[in-house]
Order: sequence, then structure tokens, then C-alpha cells
Amino acid sequence: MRVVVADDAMLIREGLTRLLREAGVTVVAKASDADELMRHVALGRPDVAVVDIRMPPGHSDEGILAAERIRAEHPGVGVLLLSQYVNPRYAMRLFDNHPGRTGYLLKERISDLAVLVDALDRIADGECVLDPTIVAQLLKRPDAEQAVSVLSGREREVLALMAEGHSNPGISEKLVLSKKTVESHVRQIFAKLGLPDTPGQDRRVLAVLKFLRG
Amino acid sequence: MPILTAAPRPGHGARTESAESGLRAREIINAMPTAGRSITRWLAIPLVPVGVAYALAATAVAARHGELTTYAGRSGLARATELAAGLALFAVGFAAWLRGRWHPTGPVAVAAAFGWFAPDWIGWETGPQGVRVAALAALGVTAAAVVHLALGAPTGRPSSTAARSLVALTWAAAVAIGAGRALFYDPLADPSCSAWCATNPLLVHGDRAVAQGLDWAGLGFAALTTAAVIVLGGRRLVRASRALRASLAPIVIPAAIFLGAWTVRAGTLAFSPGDDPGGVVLTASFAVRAVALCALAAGLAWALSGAARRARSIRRLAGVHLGGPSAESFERALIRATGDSSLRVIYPRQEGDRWIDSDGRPVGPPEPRPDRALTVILRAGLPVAAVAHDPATLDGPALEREIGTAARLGLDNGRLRAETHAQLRELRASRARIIAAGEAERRRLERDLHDGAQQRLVGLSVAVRIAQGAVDERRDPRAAARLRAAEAGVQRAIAELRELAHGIHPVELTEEGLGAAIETLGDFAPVAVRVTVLPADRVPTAVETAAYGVVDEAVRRAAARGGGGTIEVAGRRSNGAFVLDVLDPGDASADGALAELADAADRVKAIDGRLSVAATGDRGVRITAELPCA
Repeated sequence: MRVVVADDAMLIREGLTRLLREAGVTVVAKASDADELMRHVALGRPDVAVVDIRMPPGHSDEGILAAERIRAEHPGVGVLLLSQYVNPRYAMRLFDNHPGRTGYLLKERISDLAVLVDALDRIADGECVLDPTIVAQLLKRPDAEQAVSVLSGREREVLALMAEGHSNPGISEKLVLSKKTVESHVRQIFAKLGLPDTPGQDRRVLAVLKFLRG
Repeated sequence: MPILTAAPRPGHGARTESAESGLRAREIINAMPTAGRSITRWLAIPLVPVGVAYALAATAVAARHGELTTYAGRSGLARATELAAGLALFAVGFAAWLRGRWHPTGPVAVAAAFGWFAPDWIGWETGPQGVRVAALAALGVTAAAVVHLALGAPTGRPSSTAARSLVALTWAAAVAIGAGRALFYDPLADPSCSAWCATNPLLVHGDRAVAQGLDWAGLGFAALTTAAVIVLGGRRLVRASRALRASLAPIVIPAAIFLGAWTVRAGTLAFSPGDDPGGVVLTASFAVRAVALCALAAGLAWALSGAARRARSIRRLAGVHLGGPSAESFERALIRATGDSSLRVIYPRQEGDRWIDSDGRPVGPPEPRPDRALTVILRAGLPVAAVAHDPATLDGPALEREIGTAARLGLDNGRLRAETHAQLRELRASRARIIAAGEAERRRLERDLHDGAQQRLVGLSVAVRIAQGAVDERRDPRAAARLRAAEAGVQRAIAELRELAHGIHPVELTEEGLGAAIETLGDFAPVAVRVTVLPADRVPTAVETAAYGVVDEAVRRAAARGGGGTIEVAGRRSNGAFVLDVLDPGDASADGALAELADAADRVKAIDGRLSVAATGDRGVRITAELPCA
């Protein structure tokens, strides 16, 4: 696994690099702004770029813009956005344009090495990754809560994992269920929630998120 | 016309900072010319009996010795008409001369009256030739005076350079033509002489060509001045305010008619010599001129009494203008009293040299302008108000006198009202600035928390994690457990900090706008929030912040109540405002809602908006915020 790390805060850039190296991930380059990041992505050909959402000069959404450029210009390179905000809008904006090979994690998640490496692996495999905190937050919405009350407990677990971007094999592994059972749960969920035909993996996350946001 | 001069004076010592405002209020001095007034008045008093005797004598002469040579001599009706026109002019002329402020109208009208009877003296068949030739010389005086009265109406001072030059030229021409006739017209050598056929004692050189040339010059000038009065007077009438037009028209229109008839007379004489009082055209011209002069005298009287009428109206303001700040402003009352819609009242502020208008808006210091009269009302030597008005509708000193004494209460009320408005305006601006500064500070705080404290905490959690990697779980389980606890604490701190920062100011509001911010609010709220419609473009930051504050508080209240139902938010632009509707289906008390929305209401009012709450009928309330938004 080869990654480029982009964050304007030196403390985080260096700490993250060190953690990733401990986990056996190769950090090919470090960048402190979007331009530097684009150069390193073009030169280093990483599997995934880990990008802070707020970067100089504006400290607003430069990270998302850079992520969109990377996905457009280098389709083989995945992007993991790190954000200070529990904001599903940013994640959805990213997934809407580039389903697959994209992820949105809260920044503090980087100290949880297992979650971080899992996210990088899934992105490299072409999946989407959405922070569980955000999914939990969306499931707590009053209208979403009411809507998913028709689901069984197991189905709700599957729905949450789908929203987090897990594939069917990923879900079966996590919940220790057979692939067939997971597939039937997914079909059930879509039928019970009145969602249109089960979309492909790529579009599934967005469909679920849109449903949860009402 | 009141003339005020404003003289800038260097600031003295410590007050130099006010020098930039140009003029200091107390340095605007009333510099009206009053000298010479008593002298000219003394001149007028003996002229009154002289004028009356002159008019009666001229009529008598025409009746007894001018049956064939004068218009007045031909019939009693002609005599009565002539006498009426002349006496009316004398009356209005002397009245204007003796009453109120001195202006040229009085003497000019008196001159017109003297000139008007000239034909009677010319046709005095048994009279001394000296009188007859003098009357011949003065024949054009009336026409010149009428031009002067029309172009300078109502005070006799023409307001434009063109009108002033024309008046001067007309007088010069009247004098030149009159003198020319006296010196070069020989009646004995004129086969068509009719009114006067005797020896001219002033004759220098009898020359028919010169005499005829003078007739043509007279026609030219009559035609030219008639056209000028119609064009310049007409233009002035069209441009004048309603009040001014009402006092100008009765002067300008009879004057134009008189001059038209005078031109017809001059034309008739130039083409067919012989001033025959029996001729139909000439008699008609005389009749028209006589009636026009009567009308002109009446018009002058009406215009000149206007100032007095308006002064009385102003005096009456004292009694009626006692309402509070919401009552009619003093300025409006003055406009109503004077009929001058262009009138403006400004007041000096209690401190400094700044001036404000009736609604408390800051304005520049009063400055005299050529087409506007400026009357500064002083009390104890200090200006308390300045009134800019049409010079023709108001007499400056009369205005000053009436406002200074009788309408004192009204003026004080107007001044207080303006001052209150100004203070209210300042207070509003200051509140808006305070709220805006507060919002800016919140945005800065939110950024600092996210980019500073939160980043450091994340860095700290990474450091703890690295430290955990260095501790062997089996050899030092206690240290490993402590590090795990420390990391969990840092994670909690990060989560709390994030919530805190979001509560201070939602980043979405700054970066994506109202719609995104409300959606995010809905993502976290324990009540459902739905945006039905919002403008696609962004509204100004202050409006967005105020609108978000309203939705935020509505959601908070619904959450405190325990949720239930969906809060619906709709925003639209309407007539220069952004109107936000928040529908809360679970709240029955509109009054209670308004009381609890005090914070949001403050922010709305700070940008001159309005917040209202109405019950929807089916156990719900509609909160409406109208936010000015150009």
C-alpha cells in the first residue's frame, strides 16, 4: 500500500506518517497544500491520497476540490478525506461525483490505526468509506429513525454498514453471516424502505444516505 | 429676496477638527441689505398725492382738450378705463413701495402708471408744448416698466442673467427712442400728424427719416420684448413650483397681453403713420392695454400679499404643531403653510457643527445657492434651524420673524423630532455594528477552535497512540491502560470541542450558505427539519446569520418541547426583502413563542428586519422574519 499524506499541520502530517509506517503502509510523499499534493500524486502514483479537508490558502474546502481533481485526473488513485466536521454533505458531494475509491473520515479517527488501515484497504479495493459517527448521527434523525423502524435489528445493522460503504463480502465478514444471507438482507431492506431496485455497490451508499437524510 | 452669505472662517485652536465640515453654523450671517430703505420710503410719501393728482389731471385734460387727439377724450368709458388702470397701478406700486421690504416693483409700477397717462398730455391741444414733447418722450416708459415687472416678477429683480440684461436693454431703448423723438420729431413737417401738430420746442433737427426710423425701432423693440416675456416668462412658469406659479401667472400673462397690444399699436403706426385715436385697431389696442394693466395691477397685489398670507400661515403653526415625534414634521407643516414644496428645513446638531434634516439624516452645512433662498433662524445669536426655500414664495425676514417668535414651539418640536430621529438612527447603526462585530467574532472563534485547538488535540491523540505502540501490553499493563484512557479522553475532548465550535457558529453558513446550514442543523437536531424552498443564490451574510438564528432557535424550542412534527422552513425574496417562514406544527402559543425568540428577534431587528409569530390555526405557529435585502 502506497499513500501520499496531505495536511498543512506539521504535527498531524508527521504523526500520521509515523503511524502509517508502523502499520506497514508506505508513505511515498507528504504535502502541506493542494498544489504540492497534486504534484506528488502525479509523480508518486500512490494507491490512496490521505487529504485534510481544510488546507491553505482559504482553509475551507480546498481538500474536497483537490480530491475531485485527483479522482478526475488519476482514476486509479483513491482519496481519503479527513475532516474536522461531522458533515454528511461533504461526503455526499464527493460520493455523488466519484462513487468508489473515495472516503470521508473524521480526523480524530487517525489515531485508531485499525480503522484507518481498513479504510485505506477498502478504498484501494474500489469501495466507499464513510465515518461510522456520521452514519450513526444520520440514523438518529427523527424521520430516519421512524423510517427504519420497519426493519429488523439485523437489517438495521446491515443498513448501517451499507451506509458506511461496506460491500456485501465486507458486511458478511463483519457480521459473520454468509454472503447469501447478506444479499437477502440487502434485498429486504430495499424492498421494505421502498427504495428503487438495489443499485450497484458504487451507487448504493449514496442511495442509502439520501434516504436517511429524508 | 433674502440674501445670506456664508463665510468660512479659520477654526480656532482646539476646534480645528471641524474645519473640514467647511462652514461653521454660527458664521452664517444674515447680510441682507437694509440700508437705503428709509430714504426711498421718504421719497414715496410725497409722490402719493402727486400721482393721484396727476392721474386725475390727465383725465380731465383728455376730457376737455383732447376730444379728437386722445383715446380718453373720446368717451367716458375710455376715460374710466384709463383712469382705473392708472390708479390701480399707482395703488399697487405705492403699496409695494411703502410696505414690507423694499424692492424695485413699487417704483417700477409707479413709473408705469406715470407713463400710462402720457398720451393725454401729448394730445392736450391748448397745453404748453414743453409738456407735450416731454410726454412724447415718456410714451415708452409703460411698456418698458411692464417688461421689467414681468421678467422680475414678483419682486422686480429678474433671477436670470438673460432676463436682467433684457430689462436693462429695454429701459435703455425706451430712453433712447423717447429722447430721439423729442429731439428729432418735427410735428409740423409730418403730414400724418394727428395727436400733436404744433411746434416742438426741443427740436434739434427735423428729420422725417430719423422719426420713421424711430418708429421702426419702437416696433422692433415692442416685438422683441413681447417675444422675450412670452419665452422667458413661460419657461419660468413651467419650471416654477405650484405656489410660485400661482403668484407668477397673474403677472406674466397680463404683461404679455399688454406687450402684444403695444406691438400691434407700434406696427400699425409704423406701416400707416398717424396716431389716430379714432382708428379701430388702435382703439382696440388701447382697450386691451387698459384691461391688461388692471389685471397686471391685481396680479402684482395678489403676489405681493402672498408673502404676508404665508407669514400668517406660519404664525398659525405655533398652535397646531405640538404633536409627538410621529406627528407631521415641522418641515411638512411649513410646506403646507407656504405652498412651497421645495422648502427644506435642516437643524444643527446639539454638538459639533453637523446638520441633520427633518428625519435626522446627516446633511451638509447650509450653503447659499443662487436659485434658492436660505434663511437661518437664530436664537440668542445661535442658529436653531435653516430653511431653504423658493425666493419668490417667502420673504426671508418675515419667515425669520414668524418662526422666531410665534412658531417657536413648532420649531422646537421639529428640532427635537429631528434630533430624536438622528439619535435613533445612530443607535440603530450602533446596534447593527455590535451584532455584526459579535457575529464576526463568533466566526473567528469557530475557526480558531477548529484550526487551532482541535488540530492540536488530534495531534495529541496521535502522539498518545504512538506512545501506546512503545509500551508493551504484557510487561506494563497499567501504563498501557492509562494510555488507552488518555486517548479516550482526548477523543471525547475532540468531540465536545466540535460540538462547541458548531454551536458558536456553523461553518456551513459561511462556506455554503443558509440552505446547507439548515440542512446540517436538521442532520443533528432531535426534530425533523425540512427546507421547502430557498433562493438559489446567496443573500448577504448579515441576512443569512439572522435567518439562521431564527431557524436555530425555532429548532431548539421544538427540541426542548420533546420534538414531534416536522419544522418547515421556506425563504424567498420579495420586494427588496428576504422573507423567511418557519412553520412549527407543535407549538400552540404564538405569544410564548415570540417571547422565547427574543435573541433571534434582536438579531433580526439589528438589520432593520421584523419578526412576527402567528398561530396557524391547527395547533402550530408560523414564525416570519422579514429581512431587508437589496
